[in-house]
Amino acid sequence: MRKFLSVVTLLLMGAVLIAGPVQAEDLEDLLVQVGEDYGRAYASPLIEAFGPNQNSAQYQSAHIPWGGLVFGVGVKVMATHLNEGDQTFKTVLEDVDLGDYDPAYAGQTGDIVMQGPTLFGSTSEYGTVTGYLNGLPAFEMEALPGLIDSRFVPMATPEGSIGGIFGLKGTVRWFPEVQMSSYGKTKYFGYGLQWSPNGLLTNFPIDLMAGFFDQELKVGTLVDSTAKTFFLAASKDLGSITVFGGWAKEESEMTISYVYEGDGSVVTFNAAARQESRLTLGVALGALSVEMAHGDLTTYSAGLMFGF
Amino acid sequence: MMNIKRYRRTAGLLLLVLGLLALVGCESDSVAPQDSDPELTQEDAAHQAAVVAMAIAKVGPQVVRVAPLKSVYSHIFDGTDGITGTVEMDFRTGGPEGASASSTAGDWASLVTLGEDGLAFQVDQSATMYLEVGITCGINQTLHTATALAGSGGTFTAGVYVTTFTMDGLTVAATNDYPTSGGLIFTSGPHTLDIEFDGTVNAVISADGSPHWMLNMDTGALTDLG
Repeated sequence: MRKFLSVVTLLLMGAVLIAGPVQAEDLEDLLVQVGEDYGRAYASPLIEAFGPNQNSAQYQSAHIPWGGLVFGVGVKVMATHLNEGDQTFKTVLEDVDLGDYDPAYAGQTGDIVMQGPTLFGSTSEYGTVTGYLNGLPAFEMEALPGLIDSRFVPMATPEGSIGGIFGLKGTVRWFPEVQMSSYGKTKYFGYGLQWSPNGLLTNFPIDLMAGFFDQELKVGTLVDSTAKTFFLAASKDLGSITVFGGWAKEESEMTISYVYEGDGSVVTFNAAARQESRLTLGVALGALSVEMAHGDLTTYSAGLMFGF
Repeated sequence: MMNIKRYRRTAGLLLLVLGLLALVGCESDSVAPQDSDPELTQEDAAHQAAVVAMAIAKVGPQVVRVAPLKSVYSHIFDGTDGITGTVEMDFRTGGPEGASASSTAGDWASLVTLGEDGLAFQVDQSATMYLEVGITCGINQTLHTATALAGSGGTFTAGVYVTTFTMDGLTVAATNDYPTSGGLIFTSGPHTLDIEFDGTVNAVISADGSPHWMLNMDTGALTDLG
């Protein structure tokens, strides 16, 4: 039941982190049990997929009026589909002091193999940290199970926009601050601007648009995720539906910080997502739009935007 | 005019469908680390081979030590000497297709480990390792010895390393705690090592045809032969 509620929380409020005091606290409860190397590998699918989620569903049409204000408000839902292999990981550290992991082996040099489910791996299997001395497993420690057994990394966000003057449109994404029991507040804010030249190219057969969006999400002291994207888009109104597509340059990075309960040290690591560009194709039918985007990762998005 | 509009709409939808289909086929790249196993040195492989030699020295002689008058016999390793699991032995006369025979009459026997992982064992306080063995052997009832036949061997799993070994004339005796002659050919990654037994506590581990280490099968210690 708790898992079901967690999934519902994810879908409704937006992902492992933003949404989720419950999920975020579960994540921190797990991470505090491991050091940086394990934590970084365990969270890698989240680090890589969350930014592409944030940079998704930036538009559902390239059409922006040149005269008369238009407002839009709605919700966007995104999910990045992970490669099957990303439900597990294996990280190897060679020629390390095994005493850092098991005091009984202090001063002896060997190899460490960390492997098991990632954050999005099996919740019934536990990872392991195994120390190898002379090619033999000298010791083995149980590590973490997965948090959510899924290949989809979801996110949702409310969005509002205002525009219509000289082809300009401003967009914001915002989420109310949520006080988490022991980790501070969850904060999320993003803003962007789009411009369409169609007021100048009145006979051009399709609508064109360029824009950018910048956003930051903080989950207490645990996560700070930033994402930026610059995009070029085109759309064609075909009557009841609008077909749209575009290309984007993007970047995102995530910083994760927690207190390792093993020695009380603060573990902080930062990683940039590898996805730097994407192609997007989508279709809008009235207020509803769906799209697929592919860069290094594939992200599916849907939006429900009401305008007036 | 209507035809042109309909054509454009259809073409647009077609392009969209084609585009979506193209994206559907786009699998996300793998982003979680999938490192290769730590690289093994020849000395690492020698340590692995030593463990296998010590385990075989304990398991192999069971084929000439079982209680008499049985043709099929299971021996349970109860954790003494760090080994846990079961081996099953089948005694016959005249080879694998021959008639079943008691252990004191058969001239051929097979010994296989039971269970998915075979025998589980530890050296000192190590993590658990696993040994799967399949041996066929000729039995000399006069000398109470058994000599492994071609095709005998098994696998040794030490964490992420899965290695293989075959037996080369390996002979065990009922009255000796160590194989009396023959050896093992042990392969771990790029390394192939030969282990030769002589009936003493020591076995010689060779690489590329040259002796490199002396193994004490009681302590597991490897002495570099230079």
